[in-house]
Amino acid sequence: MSKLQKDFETAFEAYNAELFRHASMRLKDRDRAMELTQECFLKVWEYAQKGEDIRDLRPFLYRTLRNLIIDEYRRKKSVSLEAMVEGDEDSRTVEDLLPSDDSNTLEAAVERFDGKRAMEALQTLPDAYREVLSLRYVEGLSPGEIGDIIGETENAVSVRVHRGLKKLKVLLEETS
Amino acid sequence: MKKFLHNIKDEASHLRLSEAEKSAMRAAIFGTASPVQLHPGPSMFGALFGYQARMTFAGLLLVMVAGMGTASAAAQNSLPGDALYPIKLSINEKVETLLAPDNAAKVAVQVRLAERRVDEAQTLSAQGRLDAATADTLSANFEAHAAEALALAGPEPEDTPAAPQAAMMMAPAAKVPSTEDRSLHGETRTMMMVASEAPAEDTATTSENATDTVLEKEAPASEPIIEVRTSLRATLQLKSELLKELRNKVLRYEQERAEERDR
Repeated sequence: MSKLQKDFETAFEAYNAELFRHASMRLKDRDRAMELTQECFLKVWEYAQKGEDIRDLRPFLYRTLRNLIIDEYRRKKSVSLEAMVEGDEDSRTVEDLLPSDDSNTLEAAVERFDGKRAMEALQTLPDAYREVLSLRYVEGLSPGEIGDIIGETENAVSVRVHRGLKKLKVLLEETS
Repeated sequence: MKKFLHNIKDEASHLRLSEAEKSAMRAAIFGTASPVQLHPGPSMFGALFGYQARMTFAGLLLVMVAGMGTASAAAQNSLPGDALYPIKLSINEKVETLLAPDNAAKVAVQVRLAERRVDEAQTLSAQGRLDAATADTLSANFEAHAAEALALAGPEPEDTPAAPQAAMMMAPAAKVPSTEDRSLHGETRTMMMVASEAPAEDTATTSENATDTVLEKEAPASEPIIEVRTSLRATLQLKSELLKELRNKVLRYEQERAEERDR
């Protein structure tokens, strides 16, 4: 076995769990999440075998997975792209300019709820929020790392995380 | 700079792959069939060969022994839907079956062919090329080979400590008399010499140890080489489950697409 394959198999061992978990959180279908995870590794492995240079494997894997998820959404006509990005336009409302809740408070508020309920609520949020919230708070990536994956600035990510948390908190408090 | 929402993170930890699913994924990506380990101990066949090495060996064998042309060698890695796939089934695999010298080897061939159907299904599925009809055909072929393997193998192997137990993956060595054992070992050694040109060091370190052990010993009938106490039936059952999962998946998608069309 070549060194490249050994390295890749190590990477597979290291990252397959978190990538699958993330795919599962974005897609309702577990089997499909499994297939996309596999497809992701397959694509990146083939890319590496061609001799292409991959500087940082983990974000590269996440970016590839993300593109596959986007393709998946496009394939399913029932999910409009609007639903994906709703609420994340450039428009700034007054409430955003005056953040009354800082992230720590919001986080603490969300964390008080039962995990199962919080997860269910998360799944009902628009995908753009689900994406950053799961990357940030389940996989533990920094806003900078997330920005690298989704192609946004660190700032934009922080804003989206903040808004997502807010929505989540409101949702959880509504239904309690 | 890690930050978690522990309630959600803990809940999300349930989203994980089973060992079988991970194995299947690994195999589909790297083309090495990770040995299915239901009992402790390495799977000798999988450990020595891996999918690609098996392909290489089979291809070499065909070229050397049967003296066939490049078509059959090229057909070895083909999938259902490829032009050369019929050659793989009707010629290559037939030769493989015919070349098995004794019962244990025949069992091994049948198991290998059954597993090959599952690998093909997984690869097709990963490429998005698996449809219901193909899944059914592959399943039928799998069942046929699995049934043949079980029929040839007879009852499950017992644990016999001192006797030579060089069972190839899932072949019950207990039933094979000592003269056949030696030919089996001979064959194993030959195959290993061929396979050593292909990537024979495979996945886990346990499999590397197994390879070393076998290569070192001269395999006289009195020395146990490797004890592989894997239940043939159980392993085939696992593969059968995997195939069923793929089939069901495909059926669901086709149903969904049909429903969407009707909307």
